[in-house]
Amino acid sequence: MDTQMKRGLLDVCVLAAIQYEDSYGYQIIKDMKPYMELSESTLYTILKRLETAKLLTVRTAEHDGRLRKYYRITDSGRRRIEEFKEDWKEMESIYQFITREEVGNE
Amino acid sequence: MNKEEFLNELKKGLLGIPKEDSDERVNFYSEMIDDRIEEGMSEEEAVRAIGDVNSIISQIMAETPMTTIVKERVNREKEKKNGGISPLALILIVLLFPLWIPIVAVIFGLGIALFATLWALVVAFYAVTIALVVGGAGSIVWVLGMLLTGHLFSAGLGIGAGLFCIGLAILMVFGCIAFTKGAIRLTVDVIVGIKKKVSGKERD
Repeated sequence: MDTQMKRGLLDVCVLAAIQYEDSYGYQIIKDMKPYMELSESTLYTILKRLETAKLLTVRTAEHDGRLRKYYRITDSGRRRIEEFKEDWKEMESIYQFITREEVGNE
Repeated sequence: MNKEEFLNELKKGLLGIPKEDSDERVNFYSEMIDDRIEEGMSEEEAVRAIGDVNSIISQIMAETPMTTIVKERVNREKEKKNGGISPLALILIVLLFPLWIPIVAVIFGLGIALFATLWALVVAFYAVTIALVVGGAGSIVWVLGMLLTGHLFSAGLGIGAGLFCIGLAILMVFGCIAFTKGAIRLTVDVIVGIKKKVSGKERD
């Protein structure tokens, strides 16, 4: 897949993983596991990018005597997911065009 | 490899990137390992699940822009250098303040004086040229006067002097142009040199 496209897709996937409740690194990896294998390094880069773009916020909370970072989606983050859904519809119709069967001419 | 070994390896491998960034990443992996242990994995298993530390380091270094790495390197060199000489150098700079201020002032003054001399020479060249033109024109007027009053010998002398002045003035015009160009180039070179020196010092 085109790297630019993949990057955008991964961003939306991580946002989707935190869209209903705040989550933390390992939980995000587990939630995404059935759909795609995501390495820690890749996740770190994505989370950092989303934080810089203000699509999510980070808070550090104590958990079981140690610190854990929790990620929360922002309104802009939610908008990004909606945009993605719109884009997907458009892509879908383009896909229909690309894969259409030849009509008549038999 | 246990958690501590993994994190130490990671920290060592990430010396080339800014400290805050490196700390944040090390904490991130520490959290990931702890979460796996909490889920029931052994420490060794959890570390293995994260992956090979060297390939993680390579991936991070590949993602970090070259400029960040160079900047970090330069910063570290600077810290090293400052750490070595800073206290003594600082004391010397402060104590010798009455001494080095006049030295700097003298060097600065000499530089200004050299430039003033250079440009004064340029002005002098133009002045001489203008004087020669005026002298040549004066000679012609004088020759006319002498011819009208019948002093032929004086008129001949005047023609000679006039031609000499005008000829020299024409030569001087070329000299002036060349000299001005040279002075401008020298001035620009010196200014550029100073700029390079200053920016070089800031970068080191």
